Amino acid sequence: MSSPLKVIFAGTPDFAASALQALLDANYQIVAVYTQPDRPAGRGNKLLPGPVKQLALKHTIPVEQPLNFKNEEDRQQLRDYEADVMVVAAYGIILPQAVLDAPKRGCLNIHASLLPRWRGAAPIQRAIIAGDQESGITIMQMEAGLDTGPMLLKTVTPISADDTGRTLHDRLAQMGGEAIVKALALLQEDKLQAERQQDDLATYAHKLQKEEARIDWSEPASLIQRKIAAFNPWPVCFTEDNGQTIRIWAASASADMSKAKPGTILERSAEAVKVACGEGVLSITSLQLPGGKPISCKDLINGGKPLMQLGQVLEITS
Amino acid sequence: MSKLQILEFPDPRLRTVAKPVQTFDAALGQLIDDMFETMYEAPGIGLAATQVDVHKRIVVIDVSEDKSEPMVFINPDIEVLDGDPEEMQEGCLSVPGFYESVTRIPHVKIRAQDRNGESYEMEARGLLAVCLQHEVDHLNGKLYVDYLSNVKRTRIRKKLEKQHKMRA
Repeated sequence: MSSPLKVIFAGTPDFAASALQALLDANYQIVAVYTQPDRPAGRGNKLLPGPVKQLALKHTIPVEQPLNFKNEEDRQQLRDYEADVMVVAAYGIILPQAVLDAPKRGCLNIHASLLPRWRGAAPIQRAIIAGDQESGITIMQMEAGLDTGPMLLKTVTPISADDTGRTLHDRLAQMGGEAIVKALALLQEDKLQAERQQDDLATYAHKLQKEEARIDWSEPASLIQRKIAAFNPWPVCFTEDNGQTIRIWAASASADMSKAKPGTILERSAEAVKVACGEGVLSITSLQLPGGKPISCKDLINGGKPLMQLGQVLEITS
Repeated sequence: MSKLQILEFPDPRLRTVAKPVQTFDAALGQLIDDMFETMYEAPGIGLAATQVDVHKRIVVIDVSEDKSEPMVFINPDIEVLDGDPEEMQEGCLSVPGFYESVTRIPHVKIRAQDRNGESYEMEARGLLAVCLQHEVDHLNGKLYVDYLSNVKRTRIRKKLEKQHKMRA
């Protein structure tokens, strides 16, 4: 019998947990799981294990949570697992060369974009904001640079008009699991072919910042709509009405023209709250008032709270 | 010590049912040593004599990380014990480059003889139990691909035949 492929898995959030589940379903031997240290979460700031750790514990796989790989102890521990390959998905820790070289066949990364487009931390949301027609998964042989390694496998999915950060994330998480299982099968048959990225085509997907989600009404309605979609479920676009924060969960851009000052509420009905933008008009269909949960415009009107009133000008940030 | 040639699926010689070992002599010791060398070199965790075209009931196994637990099973008699069936990715030195899920109960009792002909018994679980079943199958002319669907087995056979042609 030949030795089974020994896999180390490294990842932290839900996106990574999908991939780990796919590897477990395909009966790969996962010798260890690396994930970021538990972070305070929820009320009372209790230390909560992330989704990857929970899954690993359920399958009694050893879990390692080094802060980084700066000390020799952590690096040696990784080498001691004598893995054939390490699969990395949204791990959130920069891996030094010593770590990349530890597994016999190096480290494979599951990246949620069609590289070299959207290297970096937030490829899913950046693709939506840019109005990309498609996204996908790239399996890449990791190098020391930021998502610069040779590409081994790609799968594509169209981005539809009603995709949000959540729907695209969930679809790509599923595809990521399928892609890595396929890549490992090809790896075992020595049939993975590496293709270098064309660095001159690279774009960078910077990490999401909460402040980016503040709506600038002087922007075109279509761009604001894409940001609202991309930032759902996090950080969620918001605006201010008389100092009160209003979060916007869903909207559509209409080509209506308006000469009103950007940020002006033009219409308030059970269907939508329409706001003038720098270009075009935004129809808000789902919003959240301070201390409340996301509601429809019908609930806004029935709720009777004196917010988002007709003629009101929402803060504009530019 | 010398490295032996490993037969590859679909070689018909892999379908031979091996005969019990009667004589425990120096030649047998030499064969066992050569089988270990061949297995470690491959690299593998188990090898049956059938795979090196010797049709005697001999299996060598080492499932340790550091080649520190060589085990010899001569005339093995295997009994699968109670337990939950588990799927595991199996690969075989006679089916190089392919790995497929096979369901087995990873809990066995085995009676066998060592290289001096001494009888012994042991219970095994996990990878060792799976490996023992895989190797004893070889002695009976059976391969892990026999547990797969016809479609998968045919695909593997065709790919390997193509490789053999290219090497010939």
